[in-house]
Amino acid sequence: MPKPKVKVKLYVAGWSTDVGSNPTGSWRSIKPELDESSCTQCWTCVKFCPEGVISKGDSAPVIDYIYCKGCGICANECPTKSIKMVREG
Amino acid sequence: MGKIQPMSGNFAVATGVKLSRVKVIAAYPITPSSTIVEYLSEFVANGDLDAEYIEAEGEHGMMAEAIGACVTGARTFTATCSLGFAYGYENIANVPGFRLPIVMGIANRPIGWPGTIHCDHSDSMSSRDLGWMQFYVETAQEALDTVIQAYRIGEDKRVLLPSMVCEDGFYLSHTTELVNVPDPKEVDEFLPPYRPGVTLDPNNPARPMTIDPPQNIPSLGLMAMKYSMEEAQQRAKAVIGEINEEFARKFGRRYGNGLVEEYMLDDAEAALVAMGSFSGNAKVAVKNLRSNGKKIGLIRIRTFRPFPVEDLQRLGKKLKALAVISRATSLGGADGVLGYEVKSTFLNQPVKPAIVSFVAGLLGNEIGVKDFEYLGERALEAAAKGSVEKDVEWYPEFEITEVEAPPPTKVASLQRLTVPGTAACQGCGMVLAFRTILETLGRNTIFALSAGCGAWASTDPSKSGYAVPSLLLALPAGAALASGISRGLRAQGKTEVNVVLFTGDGSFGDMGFMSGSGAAERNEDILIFCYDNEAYMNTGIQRSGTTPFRAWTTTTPVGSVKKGKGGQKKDLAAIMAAHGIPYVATASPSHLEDLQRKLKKAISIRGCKYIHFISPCPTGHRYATEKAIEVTRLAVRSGLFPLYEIEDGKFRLTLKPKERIPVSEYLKAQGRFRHLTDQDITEIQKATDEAYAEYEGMDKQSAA
Repeated sequence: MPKPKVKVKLYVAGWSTDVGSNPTGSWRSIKPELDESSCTQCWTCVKFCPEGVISKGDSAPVIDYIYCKGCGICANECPTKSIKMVREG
Repeated sequence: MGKIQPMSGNFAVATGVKLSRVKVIAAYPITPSSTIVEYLSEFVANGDLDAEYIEAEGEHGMMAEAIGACVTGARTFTATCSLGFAYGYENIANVPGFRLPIVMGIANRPIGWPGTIHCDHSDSMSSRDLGWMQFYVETAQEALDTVIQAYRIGEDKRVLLPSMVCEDGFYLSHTTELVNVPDPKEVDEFLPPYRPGVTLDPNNPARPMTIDPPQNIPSLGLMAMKYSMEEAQQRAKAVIGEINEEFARKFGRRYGNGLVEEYMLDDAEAALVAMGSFSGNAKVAVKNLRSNGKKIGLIRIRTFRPFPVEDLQRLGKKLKALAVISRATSLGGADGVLGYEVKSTFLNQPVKPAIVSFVAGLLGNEIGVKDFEYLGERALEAAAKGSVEKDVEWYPEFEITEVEAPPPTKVASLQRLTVPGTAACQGCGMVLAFRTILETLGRNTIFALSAGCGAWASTDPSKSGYAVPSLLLALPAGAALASGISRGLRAQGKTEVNVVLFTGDGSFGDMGFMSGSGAAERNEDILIFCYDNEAYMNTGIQRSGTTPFRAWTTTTPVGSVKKGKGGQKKDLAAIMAAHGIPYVATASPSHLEDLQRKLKKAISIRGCKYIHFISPCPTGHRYATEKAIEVTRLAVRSGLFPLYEIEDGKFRLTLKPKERIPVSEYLKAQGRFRHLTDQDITEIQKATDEAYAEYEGMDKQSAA
């Protein structure tokens, strides 16, 4: 057996952050579902989402399911109960 | 007769400590040694071990506590590794000179950058010259047995030295195997109570011993003291052998001759030389090579200090070659650490084996059976040739191309200040805090970080949450790092950059408080933002100085004797305010506009600003993730965590609930307070009412 060899390119002192490359949506077991009809666009969900995966859309919040971890804070805080947490299909 | 039980290496160490009837435990968490002291806290809380348990504020203090306890004559245990070991170093260095037989558990983890939580031996080996005995164990069984033996050996009047019982981090500390737990009575017979020599004892006026730097002793006297430590190390070799035999007679288990274990060496021409848990892989490799007719064996070194010079010289006479595997190296030196040691033992020997030396398994890299087979072949090749080509080789071989700068951050990532996909748990309040900070302060910000959730959820390049520059340093260094960044920028005229220390409560409030207090006293132009999740959440929910009264954590468990944390929560905001800095505020994720306003105000002020943020942690506080904000709102509304600011000494409540809710609503929403009695709750309510009345008084006084 020959001695194994590892070839690497590296910057010696650190690295730049490749932000957002971790699709944490896979952590989720329940997902938020929005009922646009009762949403009053108060943007409470946008404000409280720890991860910042909810953004202001034209008529209602937009949830980024690639990153949403499914914590359920948006549903719990929504004053009109327009977000429900449902089991991942 | 012992009892067979499945357990991890760390549980085995803790069980060894329990069986040794240790009287004082000085504890501070660090991965992967944390669970040793967690298990011990459970033993104490349940009354299974009658010992004082000191929850230290850092390893420097932890080691001093161990010294203080041991010098009164109490059998003492402590545990650490890696950077914690480095932080405790000043006091670690003092122990052998005090001749205190403290035993320290080490779950080996590298020291310095690049950092990882996985194993190599660079932490404990950095202290090889200090006078501690060092045992490197192969199995959980050996870990348990060695703790008991280490007290017996260290407390022997011929030795009187401290011991490190080193187990490979994660490989051994966190894997489970079957362990024969000796009968406590038999251990008592083997290990009698500690009988110290002279101790700090006011009732013994004939010996008013002062342990202090002996300034008045001539320097040759000091050198003589050092020499006596060397003699004790040398004498320890025989004692280790004796105790190993006595242990074998009593418990039926023997670890070589105590110093080295010989494996398949009888007719061997060459041997591997290894230490620690991967010796198991080496043994399998030796067997495999043997089945192909290769005459190879293994020398497992069990005691790195004292180093088994005589045993190696004896074994080396019969061997043509050795392959030494060092799991720590000396950068810029002539060899790996174990390589140096082994080679130096043969220097003056008339007949010596050829020694091929490898640096391998650093920073948690596995060395498997196949690897050992290769290393064994290399030893056999050297035996055949009678010589080696290189003094030292790294395994595997590296070919590195250095580039001038790191690859740029993806353009898509630069469009936002914070990006989802952090490593933080679901429902974490800390990520909501840093998102709010950056959205409020903007891109012109540098984050200084100290180890903890906020750092680990962001510094892993694939899991980072913020697109601003950041640098992480160890727990105690946060405010000092921020001070340095601020001064460095100022020296270059860049005074408009926001320098923010983003730190946890354990880090800032406990061992980091010295640098925090220093930065406040110098009124450094920084914003210190402390997210208080009320324990060391990142390393496994161990209590901190800011853990509330009676809360459950993994080091303040709920048992039959002790129930949760005994003391009160440290009021960090008040302590920071006492420094007279221009701005101090408290904030909560339940009141984000209030936080945003405070951030804007803080950053407009020159000088040291402090914001104390109560951070919900569903993982550690034990409630459903969706309740994170709701529960924290209850803390504010009950007055347990009032929202206020102190600007130039003027105190103002920024939120005055019309009617405060009972604290029980907040407490009962969390699993960590599940065990609270009505009396506990009444006590907390009373303390909250008294504190809140004081806040209201200060608020009125300032308004007047």
